[in-house]
Formats: sequence, structure tokens, C-alpha cells
Amino acid sequence: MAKSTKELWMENVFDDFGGLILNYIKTIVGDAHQAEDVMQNVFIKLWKTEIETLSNVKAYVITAARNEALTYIRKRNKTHLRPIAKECQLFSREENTLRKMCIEEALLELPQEQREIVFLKIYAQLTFQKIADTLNIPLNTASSRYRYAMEKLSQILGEKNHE
Amino acid sequence: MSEPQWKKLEQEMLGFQLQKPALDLKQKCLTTPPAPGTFFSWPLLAAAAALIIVASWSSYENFAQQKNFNNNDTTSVSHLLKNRLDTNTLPRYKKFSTTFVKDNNTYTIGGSRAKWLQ
Repeated sequence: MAKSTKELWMENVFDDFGGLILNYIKTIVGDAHQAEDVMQNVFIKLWKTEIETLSNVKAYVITAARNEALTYIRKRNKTHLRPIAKECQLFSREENTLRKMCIEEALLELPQEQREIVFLKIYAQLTFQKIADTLNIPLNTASSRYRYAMEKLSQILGEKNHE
Repeated sequence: MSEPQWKKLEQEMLGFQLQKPALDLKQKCLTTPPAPGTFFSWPLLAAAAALIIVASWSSYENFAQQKNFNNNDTTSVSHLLKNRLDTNTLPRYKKFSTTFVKDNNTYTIGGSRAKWLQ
């Protein structure tokens, strides 16, 4: 059976942004399994979205993923459910595995608002203006928060190297 | 911490590929969700309504048996109601409502309190 326009659009969105969305959700919720649940909710929302009205798909899916992840965290806090996995894999493990694991671990030690800004800057490759718009914060806050986050990340990794 | 150090880390992180989602997750995400109303149909609603009516009626019958009167015995019901209205001791019957008629006076049980309609 031929696929509908919406089905093709959904498939393209998954192929283009699936990895980005999933790993962004992981950085917010801090748990790989819970991130997959949230990702399914994001796609259920996308099924209901009028695709013709979207001007910037990437920005839209990032915002949708963030909203869904924050809603999930609020519910999780109410039910006292906590992130299960201590390890939350963000990067493919084809090479340099140990270093990547260290950085993932260090990233998860940052406060949630700092780790998501690092993710949005480096992996979503958003400008500070776009990040500020997405997170609904002033531009200066976005850039300074990113700087603090990267400084702290370097510091944590430095400490880990000395351990 | 000097800037070049975290800039170096930034460059290093830029080189990392993100983990790709598993195929089964792709399948789950791309499965068309059921259309709204699939699990909520009129026959189901009708069945639920019928169940509520039956449950309410059996609850009423149970009440009527306990109070030792029935719908056909309007005189005893009316007297009982009038007495209780006069003394303001009518209990609160919340789960059902019905109307008893005697002569020109109507005694109604409904909602959370009873009214005596002229």
C-alpha cells in the first residue's frame, strides 16, 4: 500500500532528527529507557500536527521534545519515579569509547538546564539566539549558561582524570 | 578555567556522532496512532448507559424493599414522605429520583433533598 504524505513526512522527520530528538530527551530526563517513552509521545503529537503550518521543522521538533520531556519529569517527580540507568549513552561507541563514556557521565553530572544547553549548542548546532528562543530565556543568559556549563564539564573531566 | 581548555573540549565533542535510535523504536514511533474515537463508540456508550440504569433501578428497589413500600402503594409512600417533610427528617437519597403523586399534591424525591410541590 502506498504511503500517505504524512507517513512519508514522519519517516523523514525520524531519519533526519530521530537521533537528535532521542539524545536531547536523554540529556533532559537522564535515562535511556524513559527517553524512549518520551520520544514515542513526541511522535504521537507529531502525528496530530498539521505539517503544512510548520515553517521550521527542526525547531518545532526540538521544542516538542523539550515540552514532552519536561512534562514527563514533572509526572516522574510526583510519582517518585527516578532515572533508572546510571549510564545514559549519547554517543555512538564505534571508537574512543572510554573517553565518550567519561564525557557522557560528566555531562549527566551537570544541572539539567546546563546539560541541555550544551546539547543544543553542540549537537543541534543552534545559535545562542535560537537556544534563547527555544528555552525562553534572554540571549545573554543562554551564552553565559553555556560557558559555565563547558567550564564545569572541563572541571569534572579534569577531576575524573586525576582520580 | 581558561577558555581554550573548554574550547578544546567543545571541539572534541563536536566530533562525536550521536547514538542512533534503535529500529524497534523507529517502528513504534512511525506506527499510525489510532484515530480519536476508536475506543469510544456509540454502542459502548449505550451499553454503559443501560448498565447505569439497571444499577440505579436495582438500587431503588433495594431501597423500596428496605422502607417497606413500593411504587403501587402511593398512599403509604405519600404519607411517609409528608410526615418526614413536616418533621424535616427526610433522608438524603442521592442515587435515584422518583415522583409520587396523591390527589393534587406531588411529593418528589430528587437530588440531595426533597421538595413538596403544591
